[in-house]
Amino acid sequence: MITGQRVLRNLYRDSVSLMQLSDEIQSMEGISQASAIMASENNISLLVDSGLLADKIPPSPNDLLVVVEGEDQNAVEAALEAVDALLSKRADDEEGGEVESFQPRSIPMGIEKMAGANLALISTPGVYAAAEALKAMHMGLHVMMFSDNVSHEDEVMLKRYSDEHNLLFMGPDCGTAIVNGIPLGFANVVSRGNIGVVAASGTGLQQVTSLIDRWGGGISQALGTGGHDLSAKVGGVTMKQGIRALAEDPDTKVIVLISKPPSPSVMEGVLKEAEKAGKPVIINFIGADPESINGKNLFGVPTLEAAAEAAVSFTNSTEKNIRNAVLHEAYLGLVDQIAVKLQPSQKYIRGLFSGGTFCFEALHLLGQKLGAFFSNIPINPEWKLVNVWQSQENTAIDLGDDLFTQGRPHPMIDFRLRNERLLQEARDPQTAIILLDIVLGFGSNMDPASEIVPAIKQAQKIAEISGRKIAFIASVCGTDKDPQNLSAQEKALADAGVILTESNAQAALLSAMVIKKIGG
Amino acid sequence: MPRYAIKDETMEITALSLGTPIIRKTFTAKVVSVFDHAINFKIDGTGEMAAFISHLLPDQPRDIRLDDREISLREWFYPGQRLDCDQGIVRLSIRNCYIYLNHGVITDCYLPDLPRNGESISDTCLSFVRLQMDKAETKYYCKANSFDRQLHLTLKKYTNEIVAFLKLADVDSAVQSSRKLIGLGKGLTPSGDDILLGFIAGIHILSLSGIEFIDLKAQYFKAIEHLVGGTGLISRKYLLHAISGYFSKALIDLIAAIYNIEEETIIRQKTIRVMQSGHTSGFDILTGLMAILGMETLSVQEKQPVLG
Repeated sequence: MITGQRVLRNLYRDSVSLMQLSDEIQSMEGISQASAIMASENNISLLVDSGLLADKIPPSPNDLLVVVEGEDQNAVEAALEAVDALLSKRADDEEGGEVESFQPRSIPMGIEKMAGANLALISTPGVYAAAEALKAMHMGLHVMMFSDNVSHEDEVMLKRYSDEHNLLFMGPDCGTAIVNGIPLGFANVVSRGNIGVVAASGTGLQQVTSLIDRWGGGISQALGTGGHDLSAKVGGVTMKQGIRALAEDPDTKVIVLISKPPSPSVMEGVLKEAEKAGKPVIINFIGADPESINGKNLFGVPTLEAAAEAAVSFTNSTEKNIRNAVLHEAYLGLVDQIAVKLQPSQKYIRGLFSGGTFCFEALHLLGQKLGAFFSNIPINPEWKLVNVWQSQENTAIDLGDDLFTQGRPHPMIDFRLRNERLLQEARDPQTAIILLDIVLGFGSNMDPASEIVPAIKQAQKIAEISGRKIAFIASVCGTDKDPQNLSAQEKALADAGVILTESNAQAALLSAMVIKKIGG
Repeated sequence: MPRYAIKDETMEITALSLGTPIIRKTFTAKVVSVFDHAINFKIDGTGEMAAFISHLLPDQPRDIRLDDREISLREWFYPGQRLDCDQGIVRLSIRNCYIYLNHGVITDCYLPDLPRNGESISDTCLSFVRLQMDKAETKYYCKANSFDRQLHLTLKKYTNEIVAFLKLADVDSAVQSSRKLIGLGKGLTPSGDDILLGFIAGIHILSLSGIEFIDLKAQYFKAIEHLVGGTGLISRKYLLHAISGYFSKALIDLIAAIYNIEEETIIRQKTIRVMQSGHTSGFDILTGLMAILGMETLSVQEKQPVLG
């Protein structure tokens, strides 16, 4: 290996920029390590000790030192030459280009540049988000708030204001919506149609809209409510706004509601609003008993896939299908095939989810079939993991939880943490099944299969060395119109030996049947 | 190239908050460094450092947060630029730009003034914060990069050494180990500096609680002041502010929450807010802080721990 360095005098960049610079250089061809670091005496000593600097250089703590390790001299020189370009590129991105491409820096400037805009998407640190949202609403804009860490009091205030002024407020912590056919945040490209969705769950919305598309239906509007909307404090304001909007929308024939079970008082209000819609309303309160939902135009369903199927069947005006939470016939044959390959020590499922709702739905289905299922978001407090970094018996983890995402991208984008955990589970002789969700669409990783397949193959090798075979069961949430190419993703996963099901629910049910088969 | 904020026009900017009341007076200064969201300047005569920061950033010690929504800081400031402040109105040389400081709210970033109901730190709350940090630690150092691994081990080694020496009231040895942390690590405020900043906050807190730490604090802080030359200007500024008792509002809010035994959701939010600073800065500061707050009382005279 060859090393090289450059010192950039009196160059100031914030910590995140320096990290990004290091990552970009490290990803260049032929480069194994790179660091952009202040040239303090202690850093220089450490670089020499770790072999990244051949000799000590005079310390200059206000200067930036870029050190690179690569396969050969050419690679190292190319990387060091690229530093200036990367630093300039970063500065240029901030300053903008010609007058025609200037970036607006406030909401009034944005409206001036885009006449007719009627929705503001707010993505600022939480402490500033409420003020920005109010400004937007003062100017007559609807709001989608991606930001989280907004206080409940602010959320109540904002939603009250939006109601009083007949504006739609999606959020806070709303990461997914499809408005007038345009995916916003993390969302899939789906066909337009006559099914409207209101969801207090990002991946729940993605699953339902993707399946609707797959089964020949289409989406009129898909609205997110944010994570706390259905709490007692907030009262389901946005969900009710969404129901009213879809009820009045002539292009919407069927409405789907998705959420975790709301508080009883909120549920009552939401169901009352749904009854007034005058259209069929299909309701999946994940984990709740669908039979508890009663009303002339209300239909409770047990799973996200059931919601999608019911919605499509209602719009087709054919036999109205409401599916139970059972494993499809098409997958029944797989149960024995998987079970027969497992060793006696292999007893447990390890679910590694990037979507919180996928994890939650799986926990309910798996819990119903298998009993105790440990998690960082357990459905029973007694099943809370003692240490989220270590699985216990049957375990399913929501890797999108704050615990795992501080200072790093969401697992739908960055697969490193999930891959590491996957290998950890593979080393555990008790792991029978690794259960996964792969989420496509805008905002997600542009090639999830290429990120996870190497880890799956390595995991399979680890298991094989000990004479074990681990079953990888997954569902891919997406459509053939998504930028990642659904069929290519599914093929790559299947070629790596992953057993794919059409939905998250089916993946969970298949896993449960296998474990029951082996006596779990 | 022409921009939205055309430089021939007059631009008026108000300060949203001031990390110090001193800045309302009359002074002249020179801009030292210009970032996307922060401008550092040095006040003539006193040599004190302060900064204008974007409204997007949380309050920081001695920093003045501006309502910069209509402008780009980089377009209006440059290194070496003169600033002229007359009774709270700052004028920039060459630019037609006025910054009004007098309406800014003074943010209480001074640690000794933090609001607290309890007299002592809540152990339960400390454990909860540590739990959040344990879960975050792996992600920063889980890469296969050998330099990162070595950095992590080195930071841990000196952190543990300093705490062990402070427990024994062996300030000289603690200072020698602190010398190894200065400027060590990645980022504009290297991890070693942030850990030291956490130590400094912790030592301030323990002396507030009446533990016999006063002499040790004075000795240790005096020594750290002489070490700060080993790191860059920006980090140096924050370390010196810390020694004077000034910290970011996010950190002070967390400490207050721990003192006031707030519920877990609140402490978790405030912990996450601190950990959102920079890349690993927040986490490193908490590492230093938690290490000190975890120390039991000690007997300075006997030079051995009273407990544990």
